[in-house]
Amino acid sequence: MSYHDPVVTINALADGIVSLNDTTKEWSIVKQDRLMPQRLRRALAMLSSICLEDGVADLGSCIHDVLAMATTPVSDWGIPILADAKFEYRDTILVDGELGVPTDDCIALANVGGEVETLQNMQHNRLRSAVATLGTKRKADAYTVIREFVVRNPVVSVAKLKEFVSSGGRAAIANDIERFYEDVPVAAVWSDGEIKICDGCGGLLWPEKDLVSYPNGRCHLKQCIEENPTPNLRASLSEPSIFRTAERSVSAFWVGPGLDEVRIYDALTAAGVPVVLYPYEDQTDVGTKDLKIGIDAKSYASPLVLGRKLSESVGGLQAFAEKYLVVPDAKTKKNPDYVKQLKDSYTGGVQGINFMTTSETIVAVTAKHGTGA
Amino acid sequence: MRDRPQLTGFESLNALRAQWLCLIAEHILGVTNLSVFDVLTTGFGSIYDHPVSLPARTALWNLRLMGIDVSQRRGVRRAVNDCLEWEDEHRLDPGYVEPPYEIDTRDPYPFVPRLSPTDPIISEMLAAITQPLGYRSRNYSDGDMTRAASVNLGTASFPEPVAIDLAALPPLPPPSYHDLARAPRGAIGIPLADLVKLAEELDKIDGANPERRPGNWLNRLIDPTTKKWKFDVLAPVGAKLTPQTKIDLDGLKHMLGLPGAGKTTLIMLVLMWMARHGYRAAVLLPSIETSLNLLSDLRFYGADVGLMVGQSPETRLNHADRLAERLASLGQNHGFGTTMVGADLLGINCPLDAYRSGPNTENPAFRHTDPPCIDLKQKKTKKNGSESEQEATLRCPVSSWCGRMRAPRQLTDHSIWLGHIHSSDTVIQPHFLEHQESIRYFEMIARTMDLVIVDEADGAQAALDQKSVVSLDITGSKDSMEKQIIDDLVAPMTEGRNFHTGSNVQNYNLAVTRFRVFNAFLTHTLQLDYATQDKLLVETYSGRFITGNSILGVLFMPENLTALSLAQREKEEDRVERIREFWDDAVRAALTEADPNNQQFEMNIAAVAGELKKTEGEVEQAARDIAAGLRLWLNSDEIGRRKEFEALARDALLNLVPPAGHQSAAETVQHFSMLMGVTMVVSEFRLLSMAQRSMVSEGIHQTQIAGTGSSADLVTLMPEAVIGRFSGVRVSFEGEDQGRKSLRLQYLSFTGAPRILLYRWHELFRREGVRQGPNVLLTSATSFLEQSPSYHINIGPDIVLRAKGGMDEWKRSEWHLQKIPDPDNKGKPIRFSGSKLSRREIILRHMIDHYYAGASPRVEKMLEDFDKGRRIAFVVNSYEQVAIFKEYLKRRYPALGERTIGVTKRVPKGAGADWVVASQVEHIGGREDWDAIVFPMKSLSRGVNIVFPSGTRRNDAVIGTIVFLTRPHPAADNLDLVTGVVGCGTLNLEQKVIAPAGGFPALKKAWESERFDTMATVRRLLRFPIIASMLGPHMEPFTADVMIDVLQTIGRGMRNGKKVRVYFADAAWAPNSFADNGKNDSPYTSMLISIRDILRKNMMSSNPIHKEVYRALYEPFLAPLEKCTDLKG
Repeated sequence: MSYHDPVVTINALADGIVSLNDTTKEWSIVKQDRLMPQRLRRALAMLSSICLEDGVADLGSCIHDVLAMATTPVSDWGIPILADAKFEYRDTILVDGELGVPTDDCIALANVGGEVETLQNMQHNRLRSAVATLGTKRKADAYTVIREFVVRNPVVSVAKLKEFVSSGGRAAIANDIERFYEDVPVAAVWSDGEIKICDGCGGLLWPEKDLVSYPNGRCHLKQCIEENPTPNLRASLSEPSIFRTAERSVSAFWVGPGLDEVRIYDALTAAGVPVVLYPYEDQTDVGTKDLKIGIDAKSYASPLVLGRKLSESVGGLQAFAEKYLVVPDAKTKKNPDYVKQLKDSYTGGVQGINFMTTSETIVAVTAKHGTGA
Repeated sequence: MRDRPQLTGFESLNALRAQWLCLIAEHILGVTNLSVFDVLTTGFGSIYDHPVSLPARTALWNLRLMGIDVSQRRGVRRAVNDCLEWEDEHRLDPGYVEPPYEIDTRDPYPFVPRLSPTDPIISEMLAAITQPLGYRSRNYSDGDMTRAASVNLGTASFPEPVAIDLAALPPLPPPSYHDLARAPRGAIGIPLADLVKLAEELDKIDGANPERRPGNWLNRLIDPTTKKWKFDVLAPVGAKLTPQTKIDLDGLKHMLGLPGAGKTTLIMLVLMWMARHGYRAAVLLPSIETSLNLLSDLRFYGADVGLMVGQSPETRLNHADRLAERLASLGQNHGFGTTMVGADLLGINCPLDAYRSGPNTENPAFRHTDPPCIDLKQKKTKKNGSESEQEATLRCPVSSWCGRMRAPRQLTDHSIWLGHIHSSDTVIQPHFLEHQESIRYFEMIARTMDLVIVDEADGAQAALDQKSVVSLDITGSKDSMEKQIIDDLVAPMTEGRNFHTGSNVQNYNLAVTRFRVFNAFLTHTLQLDYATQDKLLVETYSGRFITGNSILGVLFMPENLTALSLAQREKEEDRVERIREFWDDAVRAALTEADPNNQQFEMNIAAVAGELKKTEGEVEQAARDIAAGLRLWLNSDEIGRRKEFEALARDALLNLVPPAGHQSAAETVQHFSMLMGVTMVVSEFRLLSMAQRSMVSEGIHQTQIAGTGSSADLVTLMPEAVIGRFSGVRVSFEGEDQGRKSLRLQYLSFTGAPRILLYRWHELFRREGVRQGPNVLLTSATSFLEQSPSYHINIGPDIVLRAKGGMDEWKRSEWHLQKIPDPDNKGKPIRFSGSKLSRREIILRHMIDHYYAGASPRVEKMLEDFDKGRRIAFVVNSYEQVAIFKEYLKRRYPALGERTIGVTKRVPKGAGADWVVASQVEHIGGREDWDAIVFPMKSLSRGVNIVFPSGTRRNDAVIGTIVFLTRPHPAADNLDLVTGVVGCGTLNLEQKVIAPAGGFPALKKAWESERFDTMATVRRLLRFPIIASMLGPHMEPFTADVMIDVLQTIGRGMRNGKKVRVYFADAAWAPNSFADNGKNDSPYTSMLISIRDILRKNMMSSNPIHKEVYRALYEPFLAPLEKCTDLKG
């Protein structure tokens, strides 16, 4: 496999081309200067890496050549992997050479988002397709178990991962599960050759030059940082090569949000509330299989943006009788009115949503549905 | 850069440099003192090759390569003093050993050897200094591909190292290296018949590629009807230019050819011929854009051709910007989806970004515009294999493949290199040299290439001359010397790095303190002036090259110099020069000797007294009073008191020499403050610059603080400028901070003589024993005009290309004075140049009305009444004037305005196709949507032609009528004429044959004589902003320089020998002829008359070859000028 996935590369390139078009349409011209969008530069570098790995000349160093090349189908660029019959974007044309604008295909690809968003999309699709192969009866449970495993094990030994993928009837989709992980990045290895594990989330603690403020290094998961600005060390592990870490989009989109989800799940389960994680393939984050209780955890920085987003759709939460929209406790530390502002800005049609912090939710649901209630 | 041999047993090369001089004096030259080394380290070919210095030639050559140059004023004395200071400093060190020579500090600096001539130390040193010096190797590591490297994505002060996962990279291609062992193959003879065959082959290739515009190569050479060559390739044989059957390239050659006479065709075919015969060639072209055009053709026809281009981040971005502008001009898509051949060679993006390792791929942003090609870091490993804390710096391993390095990488194995002359002064990246030698392209070319072609060589010469002035910000910018001194010395000391106890560091610190005091004084003086209504100093000095001499001229010369006769003016110049000598010496005494009892004056007091009509006692007393005033000033710590002491110095000077009568007392006071500030800043700056080299070895500075200009490598391989490191300052007010402007103070200094490269390239390393260099062909249409200091190439001419019959339509060219009545001055013609600045915009509008107003405007008629189908060019002096022109058209004549293309530096927002940048101009030839173009004269680079792309007029000039709306004149801060004069004087001495019998005195005399003459001219030219009417004897060289640009502009209408019509619309071209006042114009009143006289004179040259060449080159211009309507004189 190539260091950079061609699908992600073409998506990132589409995203970069669209952002370049946004900067050039107002009477400026295509330039390689310092104002060129950074995400386009990164996408060009990814294209270069694919060229390098495919043994062809570097076609990503000059934006002019890339844009001209992009007026032809991707398969004609002279990069074998992009011309592969199985490559899904092989016929895609990203730039309309006549008009000098991104094509509709390009815009559609860009709408998925940039590199990380595309990666997460791919990972989610991978999980869904993988569990689908296990059959209708098993797929929902398998989905839950796999995602829970990843969230609870953002760094895992190769042995433990092998054990997980080969048990519980998951061997058939072992490869897919393993792709939610990657080798420990060299940047995460400390000068003593070890890796350090964050006590807050179980993920990696990255070496940090400011050892006074961060003696144990820094966790880069924003949900974890909000709760634990100065992370504690859970463990130091030698031999990084026998460990794997959650791939970065999986970290960003599953592990980070998963911290509160798992916390709620664990607390409610302990209280005797029959909840599961990611019921019905992620209908919501935590909920009961009878659709009585649904809990969706969100960690937007701005309550107003979250309010607007929810007003458009509350997603799968709508299917549950009792709806909880949960935000991390840390949000109210920074902004005591976060929950109120969220409520006020919500103008959606779905009524009866409980807007609460994580702790409040645990208390409220336990009080109402716990076996001690 | 070369390895610098160390004195055996000593580490400090610079402080002990005089020891090397003693060694050469004793053992090679057989002299007993060092007084001759000022002239011997100037680096002139005529001095190296003179019989008295010949035995020491390699050693003297090596001295310059080692950075030992004592040719500057008091250079020998300083070297001797440094040596003795070093001895004093280290005498008590344990194990101290005396240097090999004991030197007397008194002129002529006799020395005594401390070692026997047979001592092994002497033998070792002698061997080292007489051998060619090797190139200094850089020591980048190649990196361990199994471990991570890191790149700093922060700043030096706030580093943000980010890991690069080298282990994730697939195997890379092996690196490509330049072959330093390749040697040029010697003389080349190219039969013209071969070129015909080649032309046929190229036409065949074209035939097989119908989608591409054909070159019609054979047709360019041979007339299809007569089957004869369309142009002659001539060479001087005896007293005649005689047709040749082959082109002989042997050593340095100068080829001349009129625009359209076949020069470009010949170059193309010669290069293809070279490529087919396994030769290697470098071609220097007027711009990277023209290089890319030629690269596209050569690549298409199968030559392996590479682009030589500067590699600094800023240079790369500049070229990338121009490429972007060019691509954007190819359509309406802002360049979105468009590219061209060669764009891949100007790619910017770095692939390493894809291999960064870390939690975040976006922050911090990767350094794509300044990638880590030579600053990737990797931990070194210990013996046990573990990583140490020490880091190695890597030459990026991906350079063997990446697109960003494609252009320099291809040069390792491509046989033809194309680029700009400045690109050749680029150091070759360590990635492409096996042993990482610090070598530049021009050196590699000299060692390994068979042929160098410098196209538009006169332009290249002028471009090199411009690099002879180094400019460095003293204060007022982030990159200024003051800022760097604070960062490197002052800030670290205040933060605790105060352990440097060496007297040299302490002396440097004291000099820095004083330098900052002087800077602050000058800045304060100018800022105070800027805040006044009159802005006397700002108005007088802003933007100019200011020296003590020029300020003294303002103080002491009469206001209206032009009213004086030439002889009187010369006398005034001599008087001011004596005052300068007096003043500089008085200031030097104050700055270098704290005890007035010890001060010694170096000036010729008798000569000063004679010139100023004072007694010697009065002169010496005045000098003492000035020095005393300045010493008090230096010691004063209160502004009010300082003013009193300044007044003491001022009164002493003005009592000796009364100021010019036209100035008020207040003005004199201000000019004196300026004089004091500039003199002190310049002299302290010089001291600091000289001390900096040893401060680098002390670890105070990382590198010497250098300004823009030629590289140090080029400077050491060329002679010094004949006027030495003549220097001054330039002040300008820039930017705004809360409504106040910042003063930027720059130091300007002549450093080296880069133009000599053109004349030495073919034998650049001869003086270190390399016998065979490349053949060099300098070529242009306008490089032969002996009156022009900037453009004349005084070699040959060896080859002349002359069009044969059928290409002489130029005989029907027409030149006219076009008198435009001035609506504001009834009865008078419009005069633009020389009129008040405030009126110029109005005048320009009147001119535009003249051409564009009315029901059937003149501009439309002009399209019809001269060679219909060709267009009109309006020539102005600046981009601002283009903007005024276009803006007015847009408002008053919008329909015609849209059909008039403006050439600009930056296309305005919202502009349509009626605006282009210079690099887009060549593409408008095929467009039908325009009638006229307006551009500043020098904005279009040479080699950029507007021609019909197809049809019966294919390759003919599109421009048929050229209107000079203004008389060209350099801007006030333009130094081109001065740098040309200095380059010319330097070249004279370089090529001079100095009488062999005269010994060292003859060398000194030749040097001093050329230096004196050139310096006198330079001082006079710098006296005031260059105003034609004040130039006197310098009018001719001034005109000749401007004339080359005028003729190049007119030549744009003459491609393929076509006729052109020229209008001179500004009365300043020939005021009397325009005024119709019955008076004739003279060379002093009219540039046109001056041009005519120069051309007439040259066509009567006593040298028959020159006469014939001048006729071939300039008759198409002189003939219509002789018939220019209404021109009287």
